[in-house]
Amino acid sequence: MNGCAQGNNGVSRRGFVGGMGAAALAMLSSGLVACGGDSGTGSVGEDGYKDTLVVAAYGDQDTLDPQINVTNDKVLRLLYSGLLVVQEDGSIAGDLAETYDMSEDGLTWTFHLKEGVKFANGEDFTSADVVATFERLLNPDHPLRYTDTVAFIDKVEATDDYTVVMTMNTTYGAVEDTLAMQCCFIMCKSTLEEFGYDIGTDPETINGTGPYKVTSWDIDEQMTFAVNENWYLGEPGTPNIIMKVIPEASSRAMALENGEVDIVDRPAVDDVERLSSIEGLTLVSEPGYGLQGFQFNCSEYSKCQDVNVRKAISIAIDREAIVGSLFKEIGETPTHGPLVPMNRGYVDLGVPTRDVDAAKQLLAEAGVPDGFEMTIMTFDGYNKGVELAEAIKDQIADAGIIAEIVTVDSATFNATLNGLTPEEMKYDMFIMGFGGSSLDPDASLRRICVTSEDGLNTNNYGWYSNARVDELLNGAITLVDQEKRMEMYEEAQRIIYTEDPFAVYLNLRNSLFVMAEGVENFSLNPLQVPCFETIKVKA
Amino acid sequence: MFKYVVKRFLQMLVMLFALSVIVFLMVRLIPGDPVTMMLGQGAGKEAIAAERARLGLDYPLPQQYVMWLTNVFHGDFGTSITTHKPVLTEIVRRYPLTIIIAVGSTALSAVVGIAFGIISSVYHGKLADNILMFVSLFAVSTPSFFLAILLLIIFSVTLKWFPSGGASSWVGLVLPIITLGMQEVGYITRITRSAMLDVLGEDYIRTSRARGVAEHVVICVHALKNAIIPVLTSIGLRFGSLLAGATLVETVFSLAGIGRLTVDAVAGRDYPLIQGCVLILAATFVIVNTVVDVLYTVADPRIEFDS
Repeated sequence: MNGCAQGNNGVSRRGFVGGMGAAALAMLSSGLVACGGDSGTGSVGEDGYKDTLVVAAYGDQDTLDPQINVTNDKVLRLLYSGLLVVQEDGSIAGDLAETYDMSEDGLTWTFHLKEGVKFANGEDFTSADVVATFERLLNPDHPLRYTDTVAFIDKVEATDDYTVVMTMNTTYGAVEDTLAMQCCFIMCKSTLEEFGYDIGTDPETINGTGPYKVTSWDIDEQMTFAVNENWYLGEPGTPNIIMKVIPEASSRAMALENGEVDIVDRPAVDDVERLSSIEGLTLVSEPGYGLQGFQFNCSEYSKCQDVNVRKAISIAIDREAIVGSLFKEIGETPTHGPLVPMNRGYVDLGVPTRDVDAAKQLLAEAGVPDGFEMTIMTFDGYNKGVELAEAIKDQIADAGIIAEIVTVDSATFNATLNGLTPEEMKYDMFIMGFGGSSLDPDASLRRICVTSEDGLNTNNYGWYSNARVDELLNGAITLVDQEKRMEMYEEAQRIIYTEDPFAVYLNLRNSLFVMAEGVENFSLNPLQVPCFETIKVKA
Repeated sequence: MFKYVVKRFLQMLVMLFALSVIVFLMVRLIPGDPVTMMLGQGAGKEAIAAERARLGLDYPLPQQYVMWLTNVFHGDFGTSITTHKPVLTEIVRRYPLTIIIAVGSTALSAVVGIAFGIISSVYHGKLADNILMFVSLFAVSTPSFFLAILLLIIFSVTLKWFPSGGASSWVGLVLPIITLGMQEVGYITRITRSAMLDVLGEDYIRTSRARGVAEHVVICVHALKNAIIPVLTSIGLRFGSLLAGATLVETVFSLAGIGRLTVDAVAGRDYPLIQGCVLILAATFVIVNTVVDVLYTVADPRIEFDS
């Protein structure tokens, strides 16, 4: 079930035992508080475990319709499941599909569905539900957020109650990873017919085959879950979950110290050291959430169009120093390539070493030996987005490049990186997070790196254009021979990272959670999503 | 009086209409687009186009406005772009909480602030005055964000008297009300003090004292009645800033009020939700200040509105 083995004792936990709290407030609270007492919600069962797990989330979901949801993937997987699933080791297996096979030409995929699976409302899961789900997603008259993602599927048909045949438009290299994504979660046909596009807004419109069902949802307050008695994989670790929305990071930390919540999602980096020093609390800081960096504007309106300028900026930056100082508490490290290590086809390309003289040399070759002025856009929705920009500004100044930092809000950020022409783009570099919603490298690279066809930065935000990269990425996705595909991605990674830099890649982001005493079986799946369904909380 | 209230109500309608036009245009002029916020990076062109059409963003602005206004007159404020729920439902669900906090902190600041102000003016220049002036300066100048965290660390994390957030019971509202009311306490203390000092120097106060009226009657009845009008005015005007300040307090204390709703709506460029929230907040502000105007006549019966 979504890659998290039941009863598994979790991935390695790294407890960061910090020293003295730096801030006066931090010392005040960590010094005075004896933590652990719980006044929490729910009751304790005979086995000594709580019947309710309370999670502090940083934000609410936009909708619980898998084909529309863009918020995150922490909740949907508790409610729904897909035909396929990424297992703990990263391999793909059947979930609602018992077995599946691909025809010789790669154009026909047959899924033999599990029998005896029921939806939360008690209805049997059959091939009709799969067909209804994909028909809704593929409907050209009502394209949804993820319709594009499955554009390689031509049609989905049921040959009997438990067999589904998918016909593809083209050979596609990432069929399995895509079908394991949350946008392909299976919804119930009768629920789809009843609620249409209102699915996912109220508890009664949510009906899946996951371990839980939603019992109440007050937007921006909390969402409560109760066990789905019909779950085909047995019983989840804790019967009830409450997900409280606590937008302010320091308030999330305090709720944990108070025993009001069991798990905090995304504590503030600055709180981590203090929290880790409190007895009983455990920090989970696992690499692989995604990458952070600054992307180049490669259009003719920016000096960064010149590959030598981009290379110069790249080697003028000391990634170890920046990442080491800004993310020390949570143990984040510089990236070793444009992908995260758990991506398929990942290549370790090392960390570029800082060399200011070589950077100046490259600038001279680019015809700007005395440097130039440029603009860096950042946004504090990224972890330490402003601090990172400032660090880069300082370091490239040594090579003679004078940068001005512009900090924008999230809506401006999104609007700037969507559908502009090169003339309209005012920045030479901009902060960006990298990473796909599946383990396939195609999801992380093709959309953002392939030359923009219409000249707008709808997906390729900085007008990056490299003919060889286009050839590799556009070619690889049409192959079903995975070995050959991965060789092509390896070459593409080298070009994007070193030969013709796409961005200054900085830190490999960690998933951060802090847990109260008594939380057992916490684990993250390969996509770094917590498996709340396995967790038990000892009272 | 009745005529005055009706007149104010009509003025309010005109004002809200003008405001709705301004807000309608303003949210569309700031950079950012609701559809790209809603669908996130990487959405397909077809999906973006389809969503724009569904939201009616393809129509010319005047037509969009007329469509929106027509719906508002039918009680339909539209559907939130970010939450996919009716705007009115969200506002109705979240407004009471903000009102409770704002009214609570207004009451707190009025009671404490006026009391402090009176004491301060009576003991003008003495130790009590100095202490209260220092306290009020401290209250006015402490950022509410800092105060909120400080209160949380002391009363929630350390003493465990109050929850760290949420409004599952009234206990959860105590710290937010104190946080929000604290700045107002300082402000109203100062206003009351200076108004009282003006009045206490008047001839009629000296006359009252000479007539042998008890000192507490002189202060609390004769003087306060005349000093209260500027205080009432500022309480009314400050109510608006309380509604605005509620956003911060709602964020720190994890309360789902209208302040946070409005700010999230702006961040998500959720046009219908922004318009709905701003109209409701503006209407509240006008109503509160109309009520304050009416209260003038209670404080000073010589004030007449109809003439």
